Amino acid sequence: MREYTSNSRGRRGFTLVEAVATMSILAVVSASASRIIFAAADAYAADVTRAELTADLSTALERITAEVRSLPSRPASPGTPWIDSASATTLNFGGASTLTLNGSELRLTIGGGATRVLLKDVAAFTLAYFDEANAGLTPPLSGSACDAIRRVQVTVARTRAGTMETLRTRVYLRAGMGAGS
Amino acid sequence: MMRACCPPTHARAFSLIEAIIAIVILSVAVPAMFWAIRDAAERRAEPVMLARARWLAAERLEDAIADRHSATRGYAYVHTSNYPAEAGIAGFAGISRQVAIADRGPDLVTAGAGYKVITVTVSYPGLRGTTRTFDLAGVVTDY
Repeated sequence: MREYTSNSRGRRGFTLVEAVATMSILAVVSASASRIIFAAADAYAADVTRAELTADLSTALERITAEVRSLPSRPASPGTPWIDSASATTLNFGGASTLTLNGSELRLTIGGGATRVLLKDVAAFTLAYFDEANAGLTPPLSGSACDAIRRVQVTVARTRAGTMETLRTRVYLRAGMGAGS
Repeated sequence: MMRACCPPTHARAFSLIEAIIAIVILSVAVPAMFWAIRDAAERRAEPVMLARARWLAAERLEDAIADRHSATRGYAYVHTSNYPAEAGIAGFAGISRQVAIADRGPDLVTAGAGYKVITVTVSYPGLRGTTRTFDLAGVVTDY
């Protein structure tokens, strides 16, 4: 039996069954559509986070490489980079300068001055050392054992909101220049 | 002007043609939308990949410069054969790296001796399955 609701022009409206059926179909369609849209939104958020992490990592790495590349020679021994001690997460150089990971903060102190935080939320910071023939040197190194260091590899990883980004590079210590033939 | 229309008691339903047109429009629009979403994601990844490539290129270039100034290696060591292509780099998926070294004269363009132009090329995945490259060049001298 059909029940029509008619207006003054004689047109029929939706029945309750039609409306419910329409809403059910809409619910199913929008549920699957929303899954796609939410996934895209999540991916977008992760991409934005990743881009920010990369930009911050690049800025920090610029500073680190600039400082390490131009660290001074030992006063008594020109041509030998002045490194006081070197571990996987700390580099002491030039008598009073330090690059170190403290908790999740990457800190830099130049010439005994104020300590600056280069980067926060650091998930990993690793320094690797190589001699003039590119052979690896096992940290920690101290005293005269540091004199062989000519190349320093820096790996920094930063994490935020479940997204981690890593950058790596290597620096040749210019203080060691002049030895090649 | 009078409208020629269906009788007032008969509401007209969709015709088959209209339904087919709607389906055709949807079948064109929906895949295009997904393409656009995927494209946008790959475009956002581009600066991140570029940053990785740039630092990895600098890493290799610094190695060559270090070799030039090494007491045991020196200028002669800086040769393409001593820097084999790397098909992959641990920790950096999809990235490969290669080095080309050319002997040049003082103008750094024509072939000659006394100068070596080192070009590090890092390849990384780009948009829609393409491969993009980042080049970083440096010069070492024989004096």
